[in-house]
Amino acid sequence: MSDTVLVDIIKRLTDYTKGILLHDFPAEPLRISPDPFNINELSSAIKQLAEEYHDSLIRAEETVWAQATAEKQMEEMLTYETAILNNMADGLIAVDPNGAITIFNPVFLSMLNLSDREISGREYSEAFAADLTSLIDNVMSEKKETIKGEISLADGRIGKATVTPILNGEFLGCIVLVHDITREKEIDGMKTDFISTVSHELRTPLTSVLGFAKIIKRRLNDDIFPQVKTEDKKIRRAINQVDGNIGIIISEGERLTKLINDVLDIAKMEAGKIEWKKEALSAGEIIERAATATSALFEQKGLRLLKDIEDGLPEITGDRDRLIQVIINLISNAVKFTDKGTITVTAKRMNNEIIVSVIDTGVGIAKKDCDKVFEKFKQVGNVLTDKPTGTGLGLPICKQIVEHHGGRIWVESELGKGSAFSFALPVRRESGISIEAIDKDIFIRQLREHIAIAPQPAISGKTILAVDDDPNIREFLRQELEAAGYRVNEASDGIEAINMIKTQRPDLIILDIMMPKMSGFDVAAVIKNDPATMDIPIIVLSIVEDKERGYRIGIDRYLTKPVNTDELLREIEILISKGVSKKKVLVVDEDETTVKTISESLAAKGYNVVSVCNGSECIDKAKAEKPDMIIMDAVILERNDIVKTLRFEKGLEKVLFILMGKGKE
Amino acid sequence: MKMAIQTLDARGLKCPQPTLKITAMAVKMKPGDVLEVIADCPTFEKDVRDWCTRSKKILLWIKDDGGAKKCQIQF
Repeated sequence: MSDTVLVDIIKRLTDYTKGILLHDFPAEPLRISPDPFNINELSSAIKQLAEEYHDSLIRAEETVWAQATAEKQMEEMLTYETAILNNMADGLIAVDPNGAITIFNPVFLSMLNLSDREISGREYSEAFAADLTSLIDNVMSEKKETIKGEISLADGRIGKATVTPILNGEFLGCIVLVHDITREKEIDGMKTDFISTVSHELRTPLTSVLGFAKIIKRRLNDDIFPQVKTEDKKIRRAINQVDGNIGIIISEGERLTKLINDVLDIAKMEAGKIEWKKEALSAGEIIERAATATSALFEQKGLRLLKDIEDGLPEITGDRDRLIQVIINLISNAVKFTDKGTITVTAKRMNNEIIVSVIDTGVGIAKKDCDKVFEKFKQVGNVLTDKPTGTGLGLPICKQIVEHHGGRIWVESELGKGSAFSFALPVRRESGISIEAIDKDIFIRQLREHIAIAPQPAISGKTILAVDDDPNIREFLRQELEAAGYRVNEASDGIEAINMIKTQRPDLIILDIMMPKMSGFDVAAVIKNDPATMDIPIIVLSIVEDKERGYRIGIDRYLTKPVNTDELLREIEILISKGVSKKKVLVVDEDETTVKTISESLAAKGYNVVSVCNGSECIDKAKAEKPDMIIMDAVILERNDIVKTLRFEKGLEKVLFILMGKGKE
Repeated sequence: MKMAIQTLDARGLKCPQPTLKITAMAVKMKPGDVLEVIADCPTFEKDVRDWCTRSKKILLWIKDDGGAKKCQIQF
């Protein structure tokens, strides 16, 4: 091969290679013949390299395209999700496992009146108030269940916060959703107010109906029927029927009263208008009290009540009267639906709860109905054949009460075999004293309600002034009180009442609250502020339930219509005979000033007061003096275990304890 | 209707970076949008022409621009 030919081949190879470098990938490789130096092979190798480069270029492009597309979709998704967050009607935040706020939406910021700087990346515990923080705390520590709670929002609004753990194989923090429920609350409040008003208004006519029906029954039985000497069967039958009918009017009137009271009760609970006490309580004692209160029911039906209360149960915290009400409701229900056999009340401890069960051997409840029994106005069973008794509100009230105490209530039952209603309440925390400080007014009220219990013989010839704008009620009071031996004067409004009180000075005043011209509260305030009349006892008898206000003014008893005549007469006796009965009170406090203040105010009210300054003296003094009530500092009580010591002392089983705490710090 | 014109400065980048950049941006372009690219890689013109053929986009024009090449691609 000549040099010229060789140079030409090399030049053509170089041109081919340059073309490849300029990305002329489809160019045909160099082909020569003959090919003593294997140039064709070299050229093919270059062609192969070029094609491989071109392929990888296209693959790289495809990869970049796929990545960019995925990124774009993610971005779009993120934009879409952000738009959802930003346009949500509810407030939302997310908190990471370390407690930092990672996501929040504009509604949340405006609900709590926060700026994004105040919240972005901050710890939730620094950014929010205690109500929301404690809800989040719970979910962050439990990492399990969703919890809900009410929180305060800006401008006095109320929100419902739902805190949900974010679980995706592992715990990723939590989501907080806040819904503004201010309007719902308002509507709920209006509904409750409506129910309260209607129920209150029903009480006034019911007072007359029930009161007079009772008077008629008594008159008939005492004065009229005995005079009918005829043997005429028709007349005798008519007498029996009249007697039976009037009995029905009374029992149905009482049922209606109970219904109204229950409706009011549950309406108040739902509206959060109930004042709940927080006392340290023993489950055994509550069961005993409920058992005593329901003993008559057992006698009527010939049933037996068994109690199985575990020894050494820890205390619970709550409102004694309300919890007794729960057990009474459960026991009365059990009695109602059990015709033979036993009713067993058990109390036992399980983990950190006390479980109280009321077990009967009655008709039982079908499984499908078990949840419905706690709904309002739902009485399960055949309503056409079974005569409905009760209000249908007993169990819903129980549910409200138990849930308010942080507990739960449920039923296990089998048709024909019986039912077991149980509720669980958390055990009282041992550390610290959870007794709230006692307000002096409430304290004095408790004194008034509990001390002078023993009625003295009625003192006849005393004058009572009945103040009510409703002539029927005045007439009813007149008849009842005169029958009990009192003289009765009447006043139809507040101004007339004040004039009569100043001129005639009655021994006791029965006072309505809602009257034209002047309310009963104002009348009471005038009387209790005038030294000449301040010692005349006042019993308020009203459809309005505002005991707090009444006791603040200084009235002595607060009864609601429709009145229970026996209760009214008993209260009148107690108040009129005050001063004759001197109940003994033991005051215990390490602080001498407190002891002195309480002792003096009690002595001024006519109580017999003894006092000591420490726990061990208290036990000795209590054993020696046998007081009716012990008022003591909660710290002394805890330190000396006084309740347990004194409860087993003869003559002190029924002593009433009032504890004064420092309140929660 | 005025179309959005996006720009990409790929000067200093060697093959295949400029066309990969175009590919990444292409995902976000809507039909009718125009991408103006300037690049100084020697194979750019060839590459962008091939790219347009491959991806069925219109190369509106390509011209010299002070030692580099500038072009517009319509999507």
